[in-house]
Amino acid sequence: MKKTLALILAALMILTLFAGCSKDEPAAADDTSADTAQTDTDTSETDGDASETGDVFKVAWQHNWSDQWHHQTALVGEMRMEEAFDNVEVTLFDSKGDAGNIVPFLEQLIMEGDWDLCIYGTYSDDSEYIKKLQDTGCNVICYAIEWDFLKGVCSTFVCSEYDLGYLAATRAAELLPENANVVVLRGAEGYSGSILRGEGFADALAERDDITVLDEKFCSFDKAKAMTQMEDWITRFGTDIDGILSENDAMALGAIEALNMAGIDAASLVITGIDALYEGCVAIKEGLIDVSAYQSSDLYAEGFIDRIEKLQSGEVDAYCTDDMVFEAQMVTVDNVDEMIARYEELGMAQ
Amino acid sequence: MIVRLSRERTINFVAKYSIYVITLLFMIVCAFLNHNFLTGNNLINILRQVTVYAMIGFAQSILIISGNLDLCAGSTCCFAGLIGLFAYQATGESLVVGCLAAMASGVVINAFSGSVVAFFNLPPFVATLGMQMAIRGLCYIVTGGAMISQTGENFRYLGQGFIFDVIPVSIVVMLVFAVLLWVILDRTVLGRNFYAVGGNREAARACGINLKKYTIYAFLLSGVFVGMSGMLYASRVNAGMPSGAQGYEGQGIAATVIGGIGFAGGTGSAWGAIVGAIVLGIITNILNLLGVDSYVQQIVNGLVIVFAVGLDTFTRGLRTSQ
Repeated sequence: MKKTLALILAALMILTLFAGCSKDEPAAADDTSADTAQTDTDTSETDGDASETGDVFKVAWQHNWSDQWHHQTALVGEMRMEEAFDNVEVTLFDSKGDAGNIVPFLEQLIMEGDWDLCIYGTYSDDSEYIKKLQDTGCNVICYAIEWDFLKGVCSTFVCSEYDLGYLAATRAAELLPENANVVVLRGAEGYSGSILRGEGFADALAERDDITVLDEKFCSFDKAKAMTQMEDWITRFGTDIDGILSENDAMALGAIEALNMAGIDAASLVITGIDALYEGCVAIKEGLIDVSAYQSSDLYAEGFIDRIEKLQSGEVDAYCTDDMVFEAQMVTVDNVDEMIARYEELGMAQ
Repeated sequence: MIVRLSRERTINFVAKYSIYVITLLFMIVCAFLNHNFLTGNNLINILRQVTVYAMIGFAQSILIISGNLDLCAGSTCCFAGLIGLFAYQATGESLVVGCLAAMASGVVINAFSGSVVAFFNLPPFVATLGMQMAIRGLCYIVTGGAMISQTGENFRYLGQGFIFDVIPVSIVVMLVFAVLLWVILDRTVLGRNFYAVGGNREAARACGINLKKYTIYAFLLSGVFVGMSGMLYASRVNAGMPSGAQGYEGQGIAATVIGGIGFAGGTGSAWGAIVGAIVLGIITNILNLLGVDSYVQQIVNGLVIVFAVGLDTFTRGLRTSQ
């Protein structure tokens, strides 16, 4: 059995060797995958021969496939760039939500040295890597997270996480009855987005001194964990809960499942989420979620397209560190149809 | 002589039944700590919450008893739930087909893991760790990375429904599978051979037991349980979530070890996993009812697992020294 397997593997290696030697075209972008980063390549050249003319504008985008908003934004961004340019090649790298994959990703881009734009999010001061990357002619944008140590080092495209929390909780405070009791579903312990969203919640709720936060718990942005937590809160507080503030839509939906199981009408509570992903929008349409604050994937895409245009026209170079700040937006029953229509247009509706 | 026998009996009793006694004492303490704890609704609540962990615990029990381990169980659970959901939707909302598809996908994944372990002598730890990543990748591919929230009319019945408006379906499913596991482990040659292989591989080989065959059998059987856990999971959250059930293999292993199934293999009973899962459920539940901070909850959960493994090692040491 082992001998057979060894023979098969040896045959495969020889075949691969021949295949590699016979390839005339330049290496495809997805051949560049690092050990620690999974790549998902989609070439956006529409004229088919862009790579042969040497005009390919290579974009490396490290996203987190396990996070729905990040994945959606990467897909929307990739799609929009495809529509906007003939010569842009976007390669998606999956960070798997692991900060340990960020530096190897940057090292890989530096080593290859032929990238034009790097889009990524980080948790650490990568200034040295960014400078090296810029020296290779690659412009760098840190997105969806803001750090003081990256000011003037690379561009930051961001929508304030604090604003997202504040916006959702402000709307909740408007809707909650007098002397209301709320519970808060937090995201992940130690995650900066969670910390800021939580601060936004706290500040908005503090504007009404009759609101009591009964309890708050971290549920890792996970629907199942939020559901279990909500079941225990129902046991503990019974029908005293007037509102649920959640740091994402998935957890809000988990809480709604728990309410349904307990025979409590979710529509009778004020429930807020963040992200306004498709399933969150459907819940808003059904009257189950009252509001979801969101940072628009389209706005990010437009920002990236604007940067590519400027880089290609020579208006800015790889060392450009101009920032972009996007405003947090709110989805309610009044504008949810537009959002659902957009998801249908993007092919993300179910 | 009498004193020695009495000591042996005590040690054996502690080793065999300590988890049940501890659970009972624990429940009494919890009842004093919070008046909501011992209500019927809350107890049902706990049982419902632990069904997925218990099912994964059953799967891990089979493997651990036979000297194996599955670090891919969380990913398999997630993938099986997705396949079950797809099958349910594709067959005009048939829950039976959904369950069968989920179990089949669990069996297929575990057949691969089992074959790698049995034929290439890879440690189960390594083989299933690799599979964990591969299967998680598959989960993202089959869903395109998005959560499937439009499941269908009755998909949630298995995880959220009630029989006669009183008995949760998920608890019934868990108990049926617990009985099935008990029958297999305690009443069949297959089960006895799992214990033999896990307890002492060389002795089992000398007795004519085909180690490779029983390793694969253990993985296949475990696949049925973990596949069904996936269907329960997806039905409970009423969604197909590609990032779901992460780390559930750890919960399953914890439930198994807390339930008295020795990590070294060859010991433990079918009911251990269910009790272990209930203990985990009770801990989370009582800490939530008491409003204990999330960070402290993690510390408590970790300490309980260390305590359980320590107790297992201690009693094993006592028995060995007899």
